[in-house]
Amino acid sequence: MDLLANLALGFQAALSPANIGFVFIGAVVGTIFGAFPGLSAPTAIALLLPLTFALDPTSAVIMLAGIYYGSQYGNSISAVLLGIPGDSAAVVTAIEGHKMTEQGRGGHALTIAATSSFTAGIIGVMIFAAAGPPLAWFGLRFGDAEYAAVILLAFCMLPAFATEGRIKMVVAVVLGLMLATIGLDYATARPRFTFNQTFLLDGVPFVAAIIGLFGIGDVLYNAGIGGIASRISTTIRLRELVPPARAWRPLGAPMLRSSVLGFFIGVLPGAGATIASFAAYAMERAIARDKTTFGQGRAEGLVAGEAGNSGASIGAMLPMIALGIPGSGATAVMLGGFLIWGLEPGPTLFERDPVFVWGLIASMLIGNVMLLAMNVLLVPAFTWVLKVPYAVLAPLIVVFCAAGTYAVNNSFADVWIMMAFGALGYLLRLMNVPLAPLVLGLVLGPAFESHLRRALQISDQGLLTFVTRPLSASILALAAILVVAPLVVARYRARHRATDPTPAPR
Amino acid sequence: MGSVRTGLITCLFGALLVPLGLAVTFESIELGYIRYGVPAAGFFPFWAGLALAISGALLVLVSWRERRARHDLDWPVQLTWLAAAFVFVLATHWLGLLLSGFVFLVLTIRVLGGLPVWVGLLTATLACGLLWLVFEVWLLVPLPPGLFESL
Repeated sequence: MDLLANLALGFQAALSPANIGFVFIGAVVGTIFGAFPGLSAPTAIALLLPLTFALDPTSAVIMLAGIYYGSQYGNSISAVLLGIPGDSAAVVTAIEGHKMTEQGRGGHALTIAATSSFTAGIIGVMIFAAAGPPLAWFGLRFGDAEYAAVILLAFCMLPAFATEGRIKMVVAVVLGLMLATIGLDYATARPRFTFNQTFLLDGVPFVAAIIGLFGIGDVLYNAGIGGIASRISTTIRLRELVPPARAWRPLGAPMLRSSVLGFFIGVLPGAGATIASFAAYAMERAIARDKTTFGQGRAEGLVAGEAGNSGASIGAMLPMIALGIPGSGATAVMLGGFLIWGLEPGPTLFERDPVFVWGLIASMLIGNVMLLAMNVLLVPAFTWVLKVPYAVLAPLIVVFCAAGTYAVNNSFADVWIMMAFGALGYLLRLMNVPLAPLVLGLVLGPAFESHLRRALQISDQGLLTFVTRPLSASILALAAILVVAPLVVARYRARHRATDPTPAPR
Repeated sequence: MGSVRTGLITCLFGALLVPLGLAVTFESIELGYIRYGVPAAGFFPFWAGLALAISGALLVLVSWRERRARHDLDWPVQLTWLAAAFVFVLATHWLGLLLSGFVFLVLTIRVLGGLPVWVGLLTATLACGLLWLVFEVWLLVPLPPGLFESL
């Protein structure tokens, strides 16, 4: 009954005309940014973050969340029509969906993709609503030692889930942690690494850093792509969008399974929508009787990829809201927004500001309904938007980034910091160093340091306090397993390959 | 289309991180590691700097094997865009954001994008108009006026 009462409270907030408008804006912007290869949800969130300071925090987070899960719908559009995934989470969609387009079933693929995302969104929100309060209750039992251990666990998960470039991921996290130490020490107010510059006393301006990394660096790295306008030759008519009834029958079970799997993978920091989509695809392939048609335009494969990545986008928000630990790069950027709005995400948010939390949950239900309708009925419009050349988009984003960054503090210093992070973001992209771990380090660094130091301050056991407290000891043990296990597995595989006498197949 | 030895760049970046991390570590000792039995201001940067130096060294080791590999990348175009963005920000100090943004949009769309002038003019007019409406009218945030400050 509590759940229904809370949802009713949430709908009361979310169904205001203003908030419905913000859901719509977030959904449209997210879909467009998701559809464009090279643009992403973190870029869109970073770009719109300065505008949210004039908004009520509930409206602001509703819009930003709409961008995030909207982008998972949008990334299927270019994946299906062009075979170019909007981001890495849509690779599976590109494999199966574009094959369906080549077979003349592009409209069906788009509708199936949108329906899969919708199903995963609704299931994800329901699990979120049910699991959020218990997780927050559990989080209230955390002391400083447990919080420090959980944040360390989040950092350890990042390289554990990486399929390659683990060292680069570690470098990104550590760089973020180091940048987070710039400014006044929280306990002693001693300036650290400020080079006597007053604008650094409050630390690296978060909005400027995020906009620089994702807006300037990421966008300019992709400037060499040029336009994709000429590649869009497929015209999809509205009447070609709906598959026949018999096509839907085998898709129900994969949709449900992949949605749930995607959600729980998304909860894990560092796992993300990409891993969720591949894991769901692998699961459906393993279950299917006829595996040979996967990769040839198999609708179940398309469903798995889309439901997986959309479920993960909702799942990533659960630890952010309930524990204050973001589950992905986009939620890390959103978390920064929380701190700027003066909100402290975590277990007490459910009690202190239930309208905010349940308003967000209710808005995600509304947003998913809107996105299903938009992505089915407005495909011709989104296809037209995709024809905008990148040479027009890139400078537009640069100008909006500069204006947004300046508007935060009316400071030119912030704009130059944005450009410095833009150059850093470009360099990191060049070296294939992921940006999300750096943002995670930058956002969680201050919290990690304060919990760590307070835990050591309170206890007279020093570092032993982390292992004598059962909860933090368990969390640290899990973190240690995540660090050691990939190394052991890699060593075992290398040894097995070296000693296996079986010749490689021709 | 150019090509870039990204492995070599990664090696150099890793090599730069080592002295940077060590500098942070030594600086944090001066800030104070432990004071009166509790972690001081330099405690966390000490470990962060050490971790950065170690991970930088590992990055050099891992990317050394790929230092000769070349990847196709249109880096002249990318660096030109990056340089143009820097010039735009510099020009904002004197011309103000709206005027420098207008010029930046027209020039980059025409020269770097190779699109017709009218596309640049239309995009710049709509974009600067939208910026003015959103920031100056709606959010009441004054954008840098530059030359027009005295008017």
